[in-house]
Amino acid sequence: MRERREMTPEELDGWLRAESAADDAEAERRLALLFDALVEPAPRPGFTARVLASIRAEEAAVRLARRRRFRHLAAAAVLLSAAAFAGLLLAGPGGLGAIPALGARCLMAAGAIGRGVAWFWTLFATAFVPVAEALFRPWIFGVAAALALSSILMLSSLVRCLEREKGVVHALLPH
Amino acid sequence: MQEAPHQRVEGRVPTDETLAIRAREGSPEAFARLVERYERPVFGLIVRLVRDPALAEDLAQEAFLRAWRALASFDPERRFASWLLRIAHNAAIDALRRRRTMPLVSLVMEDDGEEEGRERELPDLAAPNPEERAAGRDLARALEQALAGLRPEYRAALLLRFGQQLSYEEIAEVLSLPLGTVKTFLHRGRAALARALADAGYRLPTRGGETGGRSGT
Repeated sequence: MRERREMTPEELDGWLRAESAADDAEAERRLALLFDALVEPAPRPGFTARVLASIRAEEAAVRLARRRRFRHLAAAAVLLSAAAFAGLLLAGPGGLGAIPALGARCLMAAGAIGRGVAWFWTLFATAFVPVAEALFRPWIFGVAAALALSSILMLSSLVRCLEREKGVVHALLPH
Repeated sequence: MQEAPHQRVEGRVPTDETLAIRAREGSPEAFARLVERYERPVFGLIVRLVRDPALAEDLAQEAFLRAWRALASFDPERRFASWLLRIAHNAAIDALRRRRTMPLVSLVMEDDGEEEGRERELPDLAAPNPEERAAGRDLARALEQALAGLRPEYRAALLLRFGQQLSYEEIAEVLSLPLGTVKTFLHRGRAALARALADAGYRLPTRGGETGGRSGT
């Protein structure tokens, strides 16, 4: 760090003289001397500690936001999975035989919704979750992959089940 | 005792770039050392641009926070000082844009208070006498005021060149300007500074070498 010293009138004269003589190199050298004598302002004591505290606070906020985002994603995943399974159960064997035609229509609709939900969840788990989260936490790749696999299995079983029950449902519907 | 900025020698004292790499790898201690090294240059640049010490401190803190966030993009082949001062300059310019009219605050008035809480130097027997010191302070105040009256772009160029000893190329990088523009700003800034001092009574010397105005008295 440069040592501070008092500015002298001679230094100022020297610079002004160099400026008026259009001697760029000398003017620069002398102006640098004048700047050397200026007070170097300093922030209040404890500045570094305040900067580090703000960094810690920001990091904590980022971690919290990530956790919250992941919780939202997990909650959405659970709800979507529950909807898909509900559709599967309602439209599956044993759920249709004892109910009237209107109920069968409703259950078919629920099954269709469940299938749509399952598709959505598959896309969600395979595309959105890894892109959004795995950038930050590599282990989420594993979780996302497991969720995607389970979704695909669930979807395929749902589709098979609905296809199998299609005939039953049609037989129940009024013609 | 603070370490001097622009440490370039590898050895016991790590370079800025080494510390930046360590900070990027998650070492808050390394970043703390960088903050200690650069708190004065960063604060000094910002406070002279925005001319409001309280705002300048907030902006300096913001600049270091931005630097921390952007550490991943720092190229260790480049000079850390230029990179950081660019962030600080941008923070100050953003603030100037937000607040078109900045209150004029004399920075020289802070001279006595700035060492508060820090070690005070012992009196130097070889130092100038009180009259000379007072004259020196008057000159410094006049220079600060003349500097404060310059256009922000001239002021920034002069501060980086003569306050931080950056090269023309580094100033161009900090200000995101072509090299030629930087040279023009420095040339015009120097002329404007001399004019402002002349207006304040510190006149340019006459052709015969005789000094007019207050500077020669």
